[in-house]
Amino acid sequence: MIPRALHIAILRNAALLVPDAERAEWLAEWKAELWYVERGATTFCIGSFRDALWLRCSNLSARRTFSVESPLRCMLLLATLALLSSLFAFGLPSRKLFAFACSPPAIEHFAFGCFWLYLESLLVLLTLNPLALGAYAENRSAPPLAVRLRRWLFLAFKIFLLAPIPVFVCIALLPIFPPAPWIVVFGWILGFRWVVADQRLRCPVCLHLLSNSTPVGSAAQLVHGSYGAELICARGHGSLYAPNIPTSWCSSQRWQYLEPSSASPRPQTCRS
Amino acid sequence: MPSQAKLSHTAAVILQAIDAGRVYGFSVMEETGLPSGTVYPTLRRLERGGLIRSQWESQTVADADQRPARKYYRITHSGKLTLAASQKRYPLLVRLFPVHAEGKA
Repeated sequence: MIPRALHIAILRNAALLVPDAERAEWLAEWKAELWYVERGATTFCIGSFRDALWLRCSNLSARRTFSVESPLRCMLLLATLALLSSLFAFGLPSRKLFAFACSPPAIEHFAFGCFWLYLESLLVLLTLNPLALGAYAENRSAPPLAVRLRRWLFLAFKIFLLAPIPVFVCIALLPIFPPAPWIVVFGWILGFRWVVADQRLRCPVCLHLLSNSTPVGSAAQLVHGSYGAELICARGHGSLYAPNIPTSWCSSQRWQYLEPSSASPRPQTCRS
Repeated sequence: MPSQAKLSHTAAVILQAIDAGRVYGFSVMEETGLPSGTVYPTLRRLERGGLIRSQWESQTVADADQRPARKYYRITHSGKLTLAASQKRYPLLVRLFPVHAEGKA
């Protein structure tokens, strides 16, 4: 039998994650609750880490000034980065790159190199991470095809805006940093991973990021593990179940369209 | 959080449990079967959204019972409206928990 003191020690360790202002009250609540737990006290205490982590993360996200929650802001951010990197590559004075860019054989060579790097990064990306976006089964609450197509257009725009950024950075750095082409490979791998991950967490109807993430289950009693998370669209278009561990009954994330009558007329503010 | 805020199924289950009279975290865990790592963060989020309100029990009462003071959760008016909307969305929610007389008092 594990002594009570060890459980208290677990709680005290978890409390270190809690923001200072809330720590004392948080610890008092968990200690009070522990008093009533007769069986599975260790599992109970391990759950406190997730609670503490949630408090820490929610405090950090409250302080964040810029987010890509809205699809317009996301595209604006990518467009700004693409513009800045293009200015960095071609707009700076005293660059010999203009001469380089004006010679057709060099352009062909460069385009061919970029194409190969693009294929390489796609292969690496496929090896590292499945690109499936999840199951979005249609039901009677699903919006019309035109609305559902916006999701794919948005994905295409993100890829279109992101793809030139590493190339422009590479062009800008090439004269002073010979291994710069690696930036293209890693930039594309990381960038496309982000694009896919971001797309998975967006509502397929309004394209805003989903919120109110609720962890579900405790897989094998891992410290921070869970079977998955449940997220919802704050505008009421539907909910998403994203498994952390692929199972035979749910290998990828699943979206559920909800009744349009329950959609809110105005944006919600609750965030996880 | 506006009164018509949308809740995930798990959050709605927890809100329903509180409305049914499970007024502190561990009783919600026992009733719903959800682990502590799910219940407590959800309680915090519901409280930040104004759907529930927490209050520490009087130390005198706890001392009289020779136990630590508990933090009780109560559903707010806004929470009741949201729960009603969630019950329309998840119709089986109302059948999950019988109403607890003590919590309703």
